[in-house]
Amino acid sequence: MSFAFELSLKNIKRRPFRAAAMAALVMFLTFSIFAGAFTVISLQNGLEGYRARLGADIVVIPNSAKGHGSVDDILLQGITGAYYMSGKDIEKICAVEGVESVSKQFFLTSAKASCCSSRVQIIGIDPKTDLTVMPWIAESFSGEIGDGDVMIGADVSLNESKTVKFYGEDYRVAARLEKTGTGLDSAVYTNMATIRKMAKDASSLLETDAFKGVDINTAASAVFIKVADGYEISEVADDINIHITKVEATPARSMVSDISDGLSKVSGIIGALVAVVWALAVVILAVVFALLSNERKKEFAVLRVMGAPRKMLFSVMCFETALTSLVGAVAGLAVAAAVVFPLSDTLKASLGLPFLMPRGGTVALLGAGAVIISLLAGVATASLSAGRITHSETGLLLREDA
Amino acid sequence: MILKAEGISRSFFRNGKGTNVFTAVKGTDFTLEAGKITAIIGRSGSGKSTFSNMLAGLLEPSEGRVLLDGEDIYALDDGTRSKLRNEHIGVVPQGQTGLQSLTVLENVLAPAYMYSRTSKADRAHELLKKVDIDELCDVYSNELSGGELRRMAIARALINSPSIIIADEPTGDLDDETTQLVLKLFRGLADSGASVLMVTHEHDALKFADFVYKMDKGVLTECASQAITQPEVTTEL
Repeated sequence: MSFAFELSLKNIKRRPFRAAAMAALVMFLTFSIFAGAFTVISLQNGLEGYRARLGADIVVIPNSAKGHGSVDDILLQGITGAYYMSGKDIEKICAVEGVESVSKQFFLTSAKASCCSSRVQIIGIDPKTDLTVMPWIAESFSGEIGDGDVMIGADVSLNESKTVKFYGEDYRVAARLEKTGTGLDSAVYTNMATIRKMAKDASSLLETDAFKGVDINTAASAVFIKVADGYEISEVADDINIHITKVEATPARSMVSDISDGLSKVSGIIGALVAVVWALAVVILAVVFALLSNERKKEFAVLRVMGAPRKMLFSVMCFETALTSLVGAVAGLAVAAAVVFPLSDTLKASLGLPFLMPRGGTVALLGAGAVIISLLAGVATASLSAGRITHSETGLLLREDA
Repeated sequence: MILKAEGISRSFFRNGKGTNVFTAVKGTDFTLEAGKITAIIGRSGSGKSTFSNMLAGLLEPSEGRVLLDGEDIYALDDGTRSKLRNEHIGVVPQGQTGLQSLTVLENVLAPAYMYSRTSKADRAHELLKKVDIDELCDVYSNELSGGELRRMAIARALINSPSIIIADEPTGDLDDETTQLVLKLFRGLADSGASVLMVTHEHDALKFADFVYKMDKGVLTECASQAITQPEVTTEL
C-alpha cells in the first residue's frame, strides 16, 4: 500500500464526520442523476413504444364511447368499454374517399364473477389488418393467433395451467406480451372470432344491456384507418365526421404529437431540474473541498516539509475523495433504487403519460454511469482545490500559519 | 554535505497603502558548515524563517541560488527536490506541526515511509526516547501539549538521519530541562558530522552554537558568539 493511500485511509478513519459530510454530498449527487435519468428514460421509452404501436392515421369510435374514455385513453391506457358501432356504419367508413384500409377492434370487459378468472379488458383484433396491437404482439409472439387463443399483457396474472377463463370457457394463453408501461399491460388480446364468441357467451350468461341492438357478428368498438397516398388525413377524418353521424373520427398523429409535446415538456422539466440540482451539488462540492483544502493547508505544508512532492499530496487528496465519493455514490444509488422502483407506479399514474421502465441491463448501465459521473465530479472538484493548494509555496503556507 | 546560499533574497507582495513589495531577506551569501551548529537570532519579522525556509528548499528565492554540494536545488524539479529534502534535510518548522490523523510514532515514521517500505520503527523509538516522549508513541498528535509536539517534530526531522538539520525555534515551547536535552541532541548530531542550523530566540541555545548570525531587517551579519552569550552589564547608580 502506498504512503499516500495509507494516509488517506487514516485521514478518513480519524475524521469520520468530514468524510461522512463529503459522502453525503456525493450521495445526493448520485441520487439526483439516477432518479432523474431513470424517470426521463422511462418516459421516453413509453413514448417510443406508443409511437411504434400507433400505425393508424385515423381512429374512429362510436359517439356512445363518450363517457367511457377518449381515443388516447383507448390507445394509451387500454381503457375501453362496452360501446359498439354497427356493421353498416363500418361499411360507410370504408366507403369514404381516401380510406385505403381499415382494421376493426372489439372491446369487452370480463365480469367480476365466478365465470371469469378476473376482471380485465379484452380486446379483439384482426391480426391480418391490425396496425396498433400486432406490431407489439409480434415482439413476443411470432405464430398465428388461433381461435380460442389469447395473448395477455405483462401485468395480467396467470395460473399454472396457462389458461384464463372468460364467461365459463377456458382459453389457452399463447403468449405474454412485452411490457409497455401503459394500461394495455393489464388487457387481454385475441382474434375477432374468439372475442365475438366471448361476447355471445357474455350475452347469454349475464343479464346485460350492453349488446342490446348490437349485431355481435358485424359490430366493432373502434376502427383504425390507413389513409391512401395523396389524401390529407385531417380531410378524410372531417369527411367521416360529416357523413357518418354516429361516430367520431380523430387523426391519430395529432394525438401522438400532443402526447409527445406533453412528454417533451415533462422530460424537459425533469431534465432541467436534474441539471440544476446536479450543478448546485457540484458547486457545493467545490466550495466544500475549497474550504477543506484551506483548513488543511498546514497539514499539506507539513507533508511538504517532510519531503512529499506535490504529486503525493495530490494523490492523498484524490484517494481520500475517491474513497468517500465511492461510498457516497453507492449509497446514493441504493437510496435512489429504493425510492424510484417502488414509486414508479405512483409516478406513472400521477404523470398520466406512457412510462416504461428501462430493462435490467439499461438500469445497470444507468446506475454504473451515475456512480462514475458522481465519482468523477467529486474527484474533479477535489483536484481543483488540491491543485491550488499543492502549487502554493510551502514556505508561504508555513508563514500564513505562523 | 555543504549547503550554500549565493546572493539569495526574497520579496513578498503585501496589500496596503504605499509600496506593496516587501523584501524579507536581502541579497545574502551564507555557508552552512558540516559538523557545526549555526544559530541565527533576530527580532520577530526580521526574515529568519524566510531565510531558513529558502535554505530548506521550501521557498524559492526571488534572486540568488541555494546550492547543495554545488547543485542548485531550485533548478531541480519538484519531485527530485522533495526527495532530496526527505533524504538529506531534516526540517523542524515553526509552530505546531503534528499530522492529526497519525499517532506520535506514525508521525515520526512518516518521512521514512514516503519513499521506502523499510521499517524504521526501532530508530523512531530511539529518537522518541532521546526527546523523552517514547511513552506517548501511540497517542494521537492532537492530544499532545505544545512542548510534546515540538519534540515529536524534532524526532520526525531526524528519522532519516539527515546530514543537514534546519530547525526554526526548536526549543520555543520547551521547559529549561527539555531545552537542554534537545540542544545536547543537536550538539551530538553536529559532532558526528551533521550541519545544524537553528533559528532561535533562546540565549541558552547560543552556548551550543559554533557560529551565530543576526538577522536584522533582512540583512544577515555574523556575530561573535561569545559577545551574544555574555549577560548585559548594567551600571547601578
